[in-house]
Amino acid sequence: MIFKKRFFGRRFLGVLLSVSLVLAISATFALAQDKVKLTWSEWWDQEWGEETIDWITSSFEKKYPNVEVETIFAPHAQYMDKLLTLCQAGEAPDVMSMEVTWAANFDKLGVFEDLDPLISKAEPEFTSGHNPAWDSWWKGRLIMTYLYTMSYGIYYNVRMFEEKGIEPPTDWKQLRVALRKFYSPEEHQWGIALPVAMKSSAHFTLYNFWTRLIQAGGRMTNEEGLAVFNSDAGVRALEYWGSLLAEGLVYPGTVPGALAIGEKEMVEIFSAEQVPIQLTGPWIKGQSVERNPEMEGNIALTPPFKDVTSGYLITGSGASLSSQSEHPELAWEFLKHLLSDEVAFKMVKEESQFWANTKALESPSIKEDPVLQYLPKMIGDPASQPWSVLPQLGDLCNSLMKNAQEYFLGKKDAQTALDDAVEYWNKVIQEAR
Amino acid sequence: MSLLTEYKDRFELRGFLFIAPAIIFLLFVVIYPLFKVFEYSFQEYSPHHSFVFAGLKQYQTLFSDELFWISMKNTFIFTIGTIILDLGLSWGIALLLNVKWPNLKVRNFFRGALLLPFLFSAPASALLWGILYQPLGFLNYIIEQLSGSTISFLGDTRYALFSVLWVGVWKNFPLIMILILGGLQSIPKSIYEAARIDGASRVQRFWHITLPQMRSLMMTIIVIDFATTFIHFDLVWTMTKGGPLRSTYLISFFLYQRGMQAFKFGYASAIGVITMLIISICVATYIFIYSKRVEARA
Repeated sequence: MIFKKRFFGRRFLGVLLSVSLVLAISATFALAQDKVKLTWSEWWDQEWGEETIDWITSSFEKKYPNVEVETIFAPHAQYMDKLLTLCQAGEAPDVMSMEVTWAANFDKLGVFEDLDPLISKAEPEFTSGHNPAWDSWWKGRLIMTYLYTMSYGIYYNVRMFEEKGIEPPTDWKQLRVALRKFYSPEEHQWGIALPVAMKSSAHFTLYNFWTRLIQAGGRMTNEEGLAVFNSDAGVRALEYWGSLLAEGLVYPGTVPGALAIGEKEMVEIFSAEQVPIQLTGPWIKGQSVERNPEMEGNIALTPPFKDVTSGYLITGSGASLSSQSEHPELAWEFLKHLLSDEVAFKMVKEESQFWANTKALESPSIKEDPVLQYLPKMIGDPASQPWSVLPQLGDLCNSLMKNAQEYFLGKKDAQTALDDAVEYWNKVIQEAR
Repeated sequence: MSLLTEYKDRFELRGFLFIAPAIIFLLFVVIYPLFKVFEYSFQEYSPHHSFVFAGLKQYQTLFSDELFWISMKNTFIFTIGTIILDLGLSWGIALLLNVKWPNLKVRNFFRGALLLPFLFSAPASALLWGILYQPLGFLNYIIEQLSGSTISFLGDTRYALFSVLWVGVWKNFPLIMILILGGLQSIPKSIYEAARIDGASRVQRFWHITLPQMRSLMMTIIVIDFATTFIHFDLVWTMTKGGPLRSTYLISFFLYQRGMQAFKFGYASAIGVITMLIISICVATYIFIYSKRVEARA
């Protein structure tokens, strides 16, 4: 009898445990099912670290306990293809990190929610930190807004400048003088490398040509959105870089050699301290320190240059909302969270990101950071120009690069090269409309 | 035997059932996409996932696009150059590895070592050769020591296409070499013995025994090499993205940029159809000529 009781007791306990386990699993599953899933596609896991991404999503989940944010990560190089596949499959993420270079193309797929009605009705807490210059418009709709913003500027190696005993340049003439001082081919040293390989056509267009064009008093596009960079200012901009190449001041000294140099090589050469100057963005710090830890604290941005104007190109990366989202209100809340003071201050302080939040840009940590300190002035300059949304930007950049290469190789003069590029740009822009 | 019984014998229903999964799989992954690409090439993509009929517009635009002809010219040079070098190099090394070596271990070591490039992924190969091709890289160091000047392998329009072509050959020749070596080793030794007794020289043995015995294998290799090289993408894209001055711009770049970057899916489909037709025509012509020659010999 005792045996039977024990046996019954064990069996009862076993059944009880199994039932409890099944109930617990079901309850967990049911709770998980109750949570609303929000998807966010991004390419920053490696740049900012997964902890930062997790912090961004979990801080939102704390505010909205019934929401679970799922990140869809792809490295920047593969991101566009992955997002295109998702959009084509009708599974566009609720919040899509976006480049202004891709925005016009994705708009063809009809995946963007117009942000204008949302931003115009947003509460003051959001609008007080939002600058309309960070919004990207295409065909009368606001299709993306910047998460972080920046300008391309001249960065330099502080130690190498100190060793040479020269001050960082403050205008384009001084830059040429500095390049001459660093010119030492026998030691395999030059002052600067340019991204003039076809593989870096976007970098040349945006960093080198567009920045120099604005400084020379020109514009890339007019009010109607058509290309007008074949102006006198455009010719000056192209001729500036062309003259540096012709003079051999650009790594590796020969024009055909320089045509093989892309952004990757530029970063390697800068990190290896083979050239002390780069025209690029603030990410150069992270890229260089990763390759050469001794570069930590050794990179600084030069004070803003002034030629005809003191303007720079305002650029950045942003986010769009999906028109296919099942939870558009929550997606908008998440976008506001990404631009909130909480996220912005953390990103400015810990990631040195120039977050698109006016309050965060006044942060003392920016003023103390040699890589960021002049950026608010550059972006805030009335002569600075925002990067306009253009269709097939990759194709347009390739066209400009090809014509610029023909000029660098002496096959065309600068005016003809720019005229040919503008003709192609306007053909593409008008077709897209 | 009635006609029906004969038909039943020849087309056993059970047989069709056995191959049905494979046929269904092929229908979904090959035939259906092929049909859709063909269909899209006569359409134009508009927002919200809809295609509208556009007749021959995509083809008209394609044939009047300068970039299409540039990419076609480069692709043919790249493909034919690759096949010639692939075969030349693979044949040379396979013949060397096929002769009697004084030490078998040394031969096996070389055979293994020569396979290494094939094991590299395309981006890794591109990165490696990108470093070697650097204006101040290892190759230029040697060239400078020998000639006093340097070459811009990837920056000079005269050398860029050959430079990227060589990387493709370097990466792919081991596979062809192994196939040729396998083919060489499967030729019965007795044929060579008989020829030697009859007084045939080394060249005659190669010309009259080795080459004819290898002919069908060579046809397979050339067809596969042609079809894969014609649509080559990753290696050259990583190294030059088509530059400088579009001297390395291939048809696959054109298709990718129009389809995946400009989202002109109808136009990209037309490029895909034309590419497929060119490959099919070239391969069919080659097989036809080969078959005729075999028939003539027979």
